[in-house]
Amino acid sequence: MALAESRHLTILADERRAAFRHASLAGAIGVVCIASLWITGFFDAERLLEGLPALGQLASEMVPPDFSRWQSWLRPLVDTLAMSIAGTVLAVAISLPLALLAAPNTSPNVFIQQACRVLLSALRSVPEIIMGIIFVAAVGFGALPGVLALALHSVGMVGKFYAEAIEHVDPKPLEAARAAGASPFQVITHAVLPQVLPQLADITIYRWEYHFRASAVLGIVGAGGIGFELIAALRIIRYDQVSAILLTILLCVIVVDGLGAWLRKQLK
Amino acid sequence: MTIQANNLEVVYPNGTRALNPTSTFFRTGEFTVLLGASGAGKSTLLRALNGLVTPTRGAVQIDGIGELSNKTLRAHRRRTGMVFQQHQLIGRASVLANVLMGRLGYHASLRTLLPFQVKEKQIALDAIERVGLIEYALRRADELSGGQQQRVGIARALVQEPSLILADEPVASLDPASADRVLGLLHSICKDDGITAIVSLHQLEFAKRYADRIVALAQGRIVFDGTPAKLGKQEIARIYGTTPADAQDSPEEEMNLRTGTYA
Repeated sequence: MALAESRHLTILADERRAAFRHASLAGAIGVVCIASLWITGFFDAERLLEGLPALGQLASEMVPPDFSRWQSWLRPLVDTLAMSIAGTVLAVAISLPLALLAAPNTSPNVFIQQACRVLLSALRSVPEIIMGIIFVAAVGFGALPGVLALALHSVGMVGKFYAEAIEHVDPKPLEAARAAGASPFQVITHAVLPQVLPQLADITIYRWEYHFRASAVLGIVGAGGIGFELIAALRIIRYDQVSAILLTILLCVIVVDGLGAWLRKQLK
Repeated sequence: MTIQANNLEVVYPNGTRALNPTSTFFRTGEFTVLLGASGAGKSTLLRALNGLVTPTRGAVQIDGIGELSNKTLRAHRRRTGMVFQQHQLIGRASVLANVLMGRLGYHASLRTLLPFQVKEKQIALDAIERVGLIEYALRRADELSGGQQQRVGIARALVQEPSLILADEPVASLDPASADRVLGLLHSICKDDGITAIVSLHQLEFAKRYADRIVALAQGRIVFDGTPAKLGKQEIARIYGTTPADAQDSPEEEMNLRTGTYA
């Protein structure tokens, strides 16, 4: 009896310690959050209050949106859509082989695997806007530098997600293929890829949706598309046109996301 | 096809000695059942016979091919079908696609990028017909029952047009009725086509019914090798590490032993 009681007490003491640990962790996270808001000047009430009328002024200049130039936005919109698709195609073409080399179960050896992981991280860590500036400098204004920037940055992201999907395939069909005399390449084409294809398609379609939004931003550095019109309207301080373009982009994003969701459903 | 193990020894990287130096010989057309408790080395021996496990020492000798090595591996695997306990199918692929995987050994790597030929698909459909699943040919593999999935596994081995079939506990995850059907099917196919078969099993009953020869392993060593008729209580006790008295007095334990749950 006494033994059982002392055992219970030990368990309760352990439980209290665990609860205290959780509470301290939550407290620490809370402190970091508040500190971040303070460092970035969020608690400077005076500045915020002064900013409000300016914000209101801008907002009032944005309505009513001015759609009068809509015809000259059509071509850039088509460009943006084409950029998003072309960027996705390029990203997939480069990501798939890199992912196969980076996934531990398909990579020929550890060195290649690590090298590909580092390469993917490196590509991921350069924002596409920076890539855009570099490629505009290299190949001039237009959609092409935009596509290259989107693709190269995305390889870092898409390659990582592909590699993770490949890493988690069921190893049993791989053994079955090997037992039937399949070469390492055949194991990949007939046992690995058939398992992960829906996931890869999912990742790709999400990336395409993202590319559409991102390519609007890339226009700002001269990489073609609707973003170019957006920055032009901002420069001449026509906020009514800015809001009209933003609404147009919003509509397109909704359409593209809907299309992506539909495609994903077809591939299930 | 005859296949021979010469002083085959397998020690896994973690130090586990799965197979002590073992020599044995499997004759053409013979249906051999491997018996033994879990961890006795049955899977290791089977996998060493087609190079899925590399032996630490010793060699596998196959007639017409010679010693198993990196060079001869694909040629040997191509004509060696393997049936697994967990089917090892791709759940979302069709029965036909899974069965066609057995043809990969006949293709050069790059040829794989093109679709399978109609002729090969017909070989696959023949195999699916033989295991009685033709009406499921285009269904997803994971929509089938356990017994049906295992029959797909057998069809996948058959399209290899094998001269040897290795089966690693092919019925361990099936209910007794489907286990009997699947094993009966595997047995009749091997006998009809003159395929050498090496099948590991947990169920003594099945072993006695189907085997031409029983090879039993305990602690990575062959402890019995002979016809089913020669397998008596004494031998069974030795295989599973029980005393003969246990096997005699306690029918309940023998039952557990048959279903493979005996510790």
